[in-house]
Amino acid sequence: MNAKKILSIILAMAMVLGLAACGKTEQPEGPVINTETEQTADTTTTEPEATEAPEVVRPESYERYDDEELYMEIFGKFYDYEQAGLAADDFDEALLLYARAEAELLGTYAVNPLYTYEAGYAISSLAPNTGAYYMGAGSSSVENCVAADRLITAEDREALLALWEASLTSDDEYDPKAYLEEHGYGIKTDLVGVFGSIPTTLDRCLTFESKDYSYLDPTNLTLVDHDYKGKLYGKCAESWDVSDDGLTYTFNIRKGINWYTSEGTAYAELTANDWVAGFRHLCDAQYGYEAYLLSVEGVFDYAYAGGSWEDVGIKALDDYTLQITFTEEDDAFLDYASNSFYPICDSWFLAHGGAYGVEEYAAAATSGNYTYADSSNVASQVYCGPYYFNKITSGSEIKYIKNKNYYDADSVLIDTLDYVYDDGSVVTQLYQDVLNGTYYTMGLSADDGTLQMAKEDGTFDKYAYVDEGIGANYLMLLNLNRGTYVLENGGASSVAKNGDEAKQIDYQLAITNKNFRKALMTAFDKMAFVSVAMGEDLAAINIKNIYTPYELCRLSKDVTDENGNSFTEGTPYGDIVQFYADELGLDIDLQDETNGWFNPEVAKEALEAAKEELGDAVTWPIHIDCISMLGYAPYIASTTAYKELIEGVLGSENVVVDVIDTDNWDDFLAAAWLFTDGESCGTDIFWDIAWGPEYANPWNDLNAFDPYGSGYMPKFFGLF
Amino acid sequence: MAKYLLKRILFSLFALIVVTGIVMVLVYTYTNRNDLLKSDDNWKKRSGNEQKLYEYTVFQRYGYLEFVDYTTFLKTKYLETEGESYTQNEDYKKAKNAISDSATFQDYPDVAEFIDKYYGEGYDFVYMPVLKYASGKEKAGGGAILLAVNEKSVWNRLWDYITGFITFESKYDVEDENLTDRYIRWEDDPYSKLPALVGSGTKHKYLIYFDSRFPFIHQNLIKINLGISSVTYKNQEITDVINTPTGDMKVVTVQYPTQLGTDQYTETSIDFHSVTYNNAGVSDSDRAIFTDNYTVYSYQKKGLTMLENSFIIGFIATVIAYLMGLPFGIFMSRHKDGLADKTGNFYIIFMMSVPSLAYIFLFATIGTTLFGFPYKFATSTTKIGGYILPVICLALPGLGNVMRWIRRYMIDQMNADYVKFAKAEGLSEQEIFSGHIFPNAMVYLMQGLPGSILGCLTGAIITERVFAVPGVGGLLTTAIDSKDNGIIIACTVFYTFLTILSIILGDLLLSRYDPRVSLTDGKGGGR
Repeated sequence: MNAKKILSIILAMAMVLGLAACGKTEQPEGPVINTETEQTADTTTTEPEATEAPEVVRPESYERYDDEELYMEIFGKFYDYEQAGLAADDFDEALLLYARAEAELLGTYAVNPLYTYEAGYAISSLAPNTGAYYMGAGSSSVENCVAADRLITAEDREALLALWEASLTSDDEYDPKAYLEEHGYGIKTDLVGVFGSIPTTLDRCLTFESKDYSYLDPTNLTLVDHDYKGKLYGKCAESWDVSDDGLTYTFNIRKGINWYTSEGTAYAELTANDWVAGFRHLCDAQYGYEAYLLSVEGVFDYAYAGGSWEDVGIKALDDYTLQITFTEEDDAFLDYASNSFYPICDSWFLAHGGAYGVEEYAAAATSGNYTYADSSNVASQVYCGPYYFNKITSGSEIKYIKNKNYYDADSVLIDTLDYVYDDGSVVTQLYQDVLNGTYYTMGLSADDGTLQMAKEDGTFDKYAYVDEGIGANYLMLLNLNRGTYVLENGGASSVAKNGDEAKQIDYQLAITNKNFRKALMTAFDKMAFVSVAMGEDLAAINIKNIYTPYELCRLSKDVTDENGNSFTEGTPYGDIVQFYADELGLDIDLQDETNGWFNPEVAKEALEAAKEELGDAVTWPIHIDCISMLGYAPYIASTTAYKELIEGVLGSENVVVDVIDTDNWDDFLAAAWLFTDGESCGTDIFWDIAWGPEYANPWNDLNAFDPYGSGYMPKFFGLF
Repeated sequence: MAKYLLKRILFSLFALIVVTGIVMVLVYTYTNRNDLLKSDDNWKKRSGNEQKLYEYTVFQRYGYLEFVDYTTFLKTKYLETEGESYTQNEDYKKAKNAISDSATFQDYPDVAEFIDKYYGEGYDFVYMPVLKYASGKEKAGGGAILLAVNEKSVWNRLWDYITGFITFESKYDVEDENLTDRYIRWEDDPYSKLPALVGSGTKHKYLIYFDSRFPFIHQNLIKINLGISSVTYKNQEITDVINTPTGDMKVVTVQYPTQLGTDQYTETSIDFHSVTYNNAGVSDSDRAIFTDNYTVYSYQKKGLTMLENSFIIGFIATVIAYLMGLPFGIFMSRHKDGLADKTGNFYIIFMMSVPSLAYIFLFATIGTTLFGFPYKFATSTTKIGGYILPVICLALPGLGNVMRWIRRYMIDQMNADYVKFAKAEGLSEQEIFSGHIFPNAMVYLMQGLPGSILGCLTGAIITERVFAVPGVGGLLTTAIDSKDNGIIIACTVFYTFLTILSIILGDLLLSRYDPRVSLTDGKGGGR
């Protein structure tokens, strides 16, 4: 070996050693405890600005307001109505109170719903409201699918939807099969579709993205489910009882349900013990579903604090009786039970290397002996639902076969489900295949050209409909209690306000003035803004003016509120919110597809009112910081659009939007949304946060704005 | 030569380990692990200390670190002494609450025990004090937390990986006290009618066996562990994933073990050679099928494995590329600047410049409309139908490549001095060509030949995606996208191994083919 070779080896080793040494943490003398503290609670208090008082007092120096006081002042009414709804006995009465709470929330003008998550156009041969019935359910109840043998026309679709709506308020059944057959369609018993990626595991407890679990749901059974009217019925549980105090649920498990292998041979009977095992496995896996069980006795301790399963209030009283004991009432439980809780076959789980207990499971799962629910091997799992897996091959095919022994096999119309892999790169082929009936559905998008193709050949007019998306809305939020003007890595996250206390105070006084916020929000041309993000075609169907989905739920009977206003059965939630919004004089149109908040006249009036109220205490213009990311086109486009829209209506002598460019993701994320408390929010306005309800109860959406850190949203207001 | 080879192999192993180490450092230290949290709704829904704890759970899941929660330590300790009702024990409750007091917790005996134990094992500690509002109310998710955290150093990681790379089965693998009769012996296998090496107490029952699937003899004695996936194939060993057949279930008429000796048969897809030990207890339905405790099975499937699919497509494409490319390229070089040469050059430039997705789509459209070949692999009705289009689309650029290079080498050789000399000597065109020019030109291609063939094992990313072929092509790119560290390391090791092997084989082949080349130190043979 010559010198050159030796030298190069030494260099290589030195490089590896150097890299390794950098990665290794220092090991000091004794054990070092690194204390991770959050910001200590804000102990400063300032008099909260009283908007009723005629004179606004300008403080000497800039100090953040007390979070709780500011929250209660601005959001207090919202919180009161929300809590009242929670305390109400009757769900319909609660709906009225929630609607009022939402109207109050929108009326603070600190939050403006923008657009929804991926609504788009689609063409399909599935009858509407078969398949996934319930918004927010997240499950694709594919066993109830009614599929025609070709695409359903837009008119037929509308007729079917009308039939469905009629069935909600009458005793008529919604029977799409009959309608389709009358109108010359055949009913398909074999569906072929496309997929992008196989489920990563066959264990439902380890999946939290819908692209994963939607493939597992056809093979599973939940305790209860919603029918097409949105009403709860017993699926795996024949019936259930809730005790008077609401703390004990007893489920009677249907007898005779079996676990089947992929060959269709029965393995074992499904008993209540399998449900207990399922809940326990869910708590062991800790993929987030255990958070839905936290009001069950003992679950928190078991999952997070080393507690014993003996203390957990989930027990099998006998083979067919499951009892769950709560420490506090949980209205959401049955809704979660319709889409998040599943049993596992106890004997199968243990035979394939499974173990119970938080650490025991973690150790077992990563050992070499764990063969339970491997996604590459359909023989590694047993199934109790309407379908079982016949084939899962990554990059190729997923196939389901109907379980002939399913307890409700007669209502399952589709015999085989076949999904073929398509990576979306050759779109024209896919489009042709959907038109000729090979695949049953497809979304039409402007990005890949399918929307244009459909418009050109007439498919759009004939077959397209609006697919609502998953119900999460993007929101625009204002920072009401700005705490930091510096980026993580040291740069400034404010152009005008960093180091300039006078401007900080100006902003603080202005932003806590309701009329100023009203001016900001009503001067904002949402349609133009959203079109920048997604094009005009889609802007109209994606735009949102209300936070909780408009049609989330409906009144099940006539109700009257405490002021004597009455609402009829079947009124959707959104209508009620609109009523209260009008009462509050908000001037907002909550219906979709409208630029419901945009009103330049109202904006200018509100600005004048704000100027009057603030008087000499404030020097104009007010500077609003808007965080952006250098080189990231979507943010550049939207921040530029926002600046132009706002300054265009209100005038840059009154409001100046400063776009703050960060040059790396760490800074951007830390300032925009990856912070943990309100004080660390590094921007005045942000609009990339989406939130959506998980089940059909507005409280599930509204509680994101709860104070004291239990809600996710207030930190974007700079609070808590 | 043997000494040279040994030196080469040792050095290659060293290189493999260094590369694996470097990639481990890159993946575990230098990538931004906070990206994992960005899209995680569960992280968003938590707050305070609970959110931080969840972060540690996620990082542990992805293999970045290991941690032990103080409360878990307490649970193990008190479970031993107090039994299942340990949560009622007063000492346990006090020990649990001890960490709420940030000033004094380190002195509390249970806490000190915890710290000593894990400090001795090289862990660091993270303490999260109770979070409260000014009013004294505890914040949501604000309970105190004490963790012992171990960010595995790259040396430990590398060592664990190397020592766990190959595992052997032994008759003491099964931890069942009731299993007393442990053996490994040859038995007659009723399913293959040939002898098989059978174990009792091993994880797999059949350690060496024969069946009708290529390569007809199979073993479970030695297992290579490339890594466990944490995202794309949760908790599954990569070598298993890429070695599972991808076709439909194959139903055969066989006898269950309980039916052997009777005249009863069943139609089933169960592969009785795949059974492993059932530690949990055999159920009634298992008893109806199996006679011993080996009841955990896989199904027999048709079709090839992911690895085989990629290899077959790549191999046939390479063979076509060489079989057709060599004659075409030679023809082009001998008729330089003629019509054939111009057409060939056009083709080469076309394949070089047009993006792969474009020409794949072009040939796919031609193939499906004019010839009726199946488009997607899964929709093919014949066994080989689904392979036709992928092979064609993969062969065509390879063809262009071979043509280009052999033409160039040939032309170079044809202009060499010795050709003029040979002509002067009186050798015919054919003799010069077949005896001298062609062999010399091939020298350059020889070295790359093993690489081309072994490279087929890595799969073709775009071709497999477009035609929905179940292969290994997309494995690495998908893993990088989803931060599946197990697959990234596994692919790195696999690809590095293939590269090293290709280079060694290429050099050996070259030295065999060209007598002028000698790999060992020396004066070189030949001219």
